[in-house]
Amino acid sequence: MTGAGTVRTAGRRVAVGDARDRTVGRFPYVIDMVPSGCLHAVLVRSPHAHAEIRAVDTTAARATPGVVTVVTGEDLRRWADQPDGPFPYYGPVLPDRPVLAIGRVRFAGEPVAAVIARDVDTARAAAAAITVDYAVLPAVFTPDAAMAPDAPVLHDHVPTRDVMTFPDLVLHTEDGGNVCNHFRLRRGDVDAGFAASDHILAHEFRTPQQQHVPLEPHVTIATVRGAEVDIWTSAASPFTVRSQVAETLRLPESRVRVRVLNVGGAYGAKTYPRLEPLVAVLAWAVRGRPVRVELTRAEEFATVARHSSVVRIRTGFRADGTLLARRVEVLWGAGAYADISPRTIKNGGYSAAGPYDIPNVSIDSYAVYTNTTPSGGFRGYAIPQVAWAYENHTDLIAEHLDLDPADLRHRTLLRPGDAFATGQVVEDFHLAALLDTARDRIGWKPGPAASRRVVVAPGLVRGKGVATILKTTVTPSTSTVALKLDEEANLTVVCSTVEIGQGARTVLAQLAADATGVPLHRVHVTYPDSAVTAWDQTTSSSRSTLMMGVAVERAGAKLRGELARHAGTLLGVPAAAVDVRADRIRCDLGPGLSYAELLSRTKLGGLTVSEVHASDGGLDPETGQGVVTPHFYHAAAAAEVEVDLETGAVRVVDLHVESYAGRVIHPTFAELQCEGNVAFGVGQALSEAMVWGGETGALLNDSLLDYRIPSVRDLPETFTVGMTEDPAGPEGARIHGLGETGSPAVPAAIGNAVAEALGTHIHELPLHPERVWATARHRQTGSGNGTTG
Amino acid sequence: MTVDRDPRLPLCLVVNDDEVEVRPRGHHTLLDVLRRELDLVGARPGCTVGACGSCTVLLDDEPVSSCLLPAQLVGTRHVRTIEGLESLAVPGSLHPVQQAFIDHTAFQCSYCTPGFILTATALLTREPDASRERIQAELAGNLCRCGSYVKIMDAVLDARDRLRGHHDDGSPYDGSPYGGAPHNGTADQQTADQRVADRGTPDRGTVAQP
Repeated sequence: MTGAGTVRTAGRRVAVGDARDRTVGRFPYVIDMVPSGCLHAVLVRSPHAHAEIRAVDTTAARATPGVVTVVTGEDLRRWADQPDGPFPYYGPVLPDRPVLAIGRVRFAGEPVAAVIARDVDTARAAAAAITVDYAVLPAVFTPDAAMAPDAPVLHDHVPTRDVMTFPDLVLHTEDGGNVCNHFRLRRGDVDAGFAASDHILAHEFRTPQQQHVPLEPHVTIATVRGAEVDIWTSAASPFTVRSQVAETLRLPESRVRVRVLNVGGAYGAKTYPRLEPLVAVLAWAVRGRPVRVELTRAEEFATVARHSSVVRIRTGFRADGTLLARRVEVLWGAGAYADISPRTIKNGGYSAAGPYDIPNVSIDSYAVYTNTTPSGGFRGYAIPQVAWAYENHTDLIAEHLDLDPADLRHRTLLRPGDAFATGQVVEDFHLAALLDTARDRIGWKPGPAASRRVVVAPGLVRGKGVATILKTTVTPSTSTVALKLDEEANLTVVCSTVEIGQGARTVLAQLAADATGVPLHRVHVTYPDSAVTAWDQTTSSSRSTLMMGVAVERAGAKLRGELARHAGTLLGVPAAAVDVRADRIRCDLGPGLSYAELLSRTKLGGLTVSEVHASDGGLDPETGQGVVTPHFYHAAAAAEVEVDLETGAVRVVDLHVESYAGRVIHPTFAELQCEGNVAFGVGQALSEAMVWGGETGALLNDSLLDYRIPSVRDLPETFTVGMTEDPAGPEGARIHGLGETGSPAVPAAIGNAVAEALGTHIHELPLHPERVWATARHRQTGSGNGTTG
Repeated sequence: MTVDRDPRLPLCLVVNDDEVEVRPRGHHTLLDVLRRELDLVGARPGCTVGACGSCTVLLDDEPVSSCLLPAQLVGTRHVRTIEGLESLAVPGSLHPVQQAFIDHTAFQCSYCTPGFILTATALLTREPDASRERIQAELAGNLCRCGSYVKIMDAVLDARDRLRGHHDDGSPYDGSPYGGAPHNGTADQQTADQRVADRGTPDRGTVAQP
């Protein structure tokens, strides 16, 4: 690509335009907003994991001075019959979730009633005065338990929509059980593959629910005025919010305006409507006045989580390590409502094959309702769970064959021209090289696992491990952008990409400056406003720099074409003879003119162009074969750990993650994303797990004192991140998303390193001291070879 | 017509060198007062149990979790929020710790940034020679979920060295580690660009020690 500026900004650590605001406390978030006349709502939540609601007594709450109204599930049921009343159920795929519990609660923390009052204190006091009579039902917390024949069934009927909201999705849903979707992949003849194998190994792996913990909690402000709704929300996909709220309030989407500022952390927690349908209904109930809801940290844990998983993986292989057949069954703990699970389990399903060349693959992936917080997308989108399984499994195969685990991967990893499990041929794929980079960086000595185990002191053992992963990005997907050049030739990038910490507003400004020739300091990127800014599918799936980035580059080329056309007319030359770059318009004769001079002399006043970038693909509903991504994201990690056998403490002493970037736009933000992947991976590997229990089946660790996320002292002692760019150079190189890519490889590499140190694999995350200690002890006493599996 | 007297006792606080009068309810925390009554939103709720540090403010130059401190207990101690850090230096310029966070792009979503800056500022004021380990220990009370720790550590170490350099040569503190360059508009962008250029582009994959 030829840059239209004198010096291309892409690939440079350009100054962050809003950096100062970030350091002086003036970087705006929705949580800072309290409109005048705003009412505040506080929610009453179920203490029980599963119960019938017999009665809700709101008398005392309603009588509290300052309370405007109280809303319960019964109100929703009543309003549903009114012609203009809100539709009481929502959900991005299946409308299975009541805005407030109707007749039954399905997880501890589910909202049962809402108190709207003049201030938060009043609402909170009144909420405490609401009493709910529950009849407790049996509850189920893990997906394998929920699939048992005698398990309590959460939903008697799973509702679907007439028109599917997701073109990439096929539903296999049946009433009478807890499976809310089943994804199938069938490639080759898996039975024949097993029959031809010299060896077959089978294992089971588990991961718990984990929470995103965005430091800015969910916060939404909604106002209903006449037939128009105005929403400010901390969300990563404003147009998904708009569709849902329009459905909920039975309005055309054009009547719903959704605005977003900077989002104080999302990581998947804010990709789909979670709080907005409820706040919109509350605003409808008090029409005319804004209603604001800001969640507490404990409520955040009751809002969305990462899926728990049980992965049963079985692989047939030859004595030389050639993989012939793989069968995987993945059970996903979806929580009490479907949310985005029907899609998550599709990606987590086909990805369970791993980045390997396997001719015969059979995968069944199930989203299973459980009496826990609903699960949604979480940085890595189901890959961390299956990578934990298939990468431990790969090391176990290497052990079985007495091979170096990196060497086994070299024999079996996909290479350009090979077909992934969905049949899509991989291109621009460098995973073997990434593995070498990561492996060499931590000083890997070739040999089977036991050969690298080092006793550094009595009771202190070191081991090393590697992991390789691939990831897709949502396909098909679409981004649109408008570029507005004003009369002074300042450029506004009108788009709906959300700044969630990834540096999108800086990166898109760079791409726009390079594509248009407008100097970077005159480029401004809008915040999303669904009434004004161009439609975008979502800020998630590591897609924005790729999808919106390409849209911006195309729009920039179009804008320069328009400038050339107008200049040609003005100067009486063909447009093709006009050179437009670096804020200058020139033809062969004369000194040329600036963009602003052209706009002034032609009296255009300004110029606006728009562009769309869309990807295409989809899978066969029966076989899971087809195109899943524009290109495969991929990463490799290598870790060295030290395990204290006395305490079970795991110290990551060294780690490297190498991600394929294709082309890096802002190296510092890209590094930050990669370093963030390490922080997330370390937390998932060593400490993070939501623990359900107690008498009522509530979450036992719903505060940051008990649910520990990594601090600066919890990271690896030494770690590095690398971004491999296209060996052919930036010209024509394709942008690969980096926001999630490295993260799934981290827990798997740490797990394999711990296995090397212990001499046995732990099959369940996290590797917290109690679990590691128990495994080490178990092994020392010689009574087994691991805690599970 | 009777006019009800506001029954809440006024509370006088010193915030960012200004005396202010607020009327919190009895249980309101300093964080509630800062955000709701004084519109100082740089202190942010994160966990409300003192575990994340997003609500950090300085109380007589010591960092505290304002989410845990009842406003009534602040007393005569001076409260400094991120909005008041600049005035420690020359008005309109940034504190060296703030500048270092900008120079190192030590943020992602930036929600936690004010808390980190205040904690680091208090430490470097108290212990200008704080070691890397000491800084790590002090910052362990602030959480960055985005995981920007490598660059946060780089920024704080850099700020320490700049501040120490100033102490060593005995020159009067001019509020800017870069000779008081203006920090707004294009000038800011150019100087920041230049600083990055001067420093050179760090190699990919340099060993980071968070």
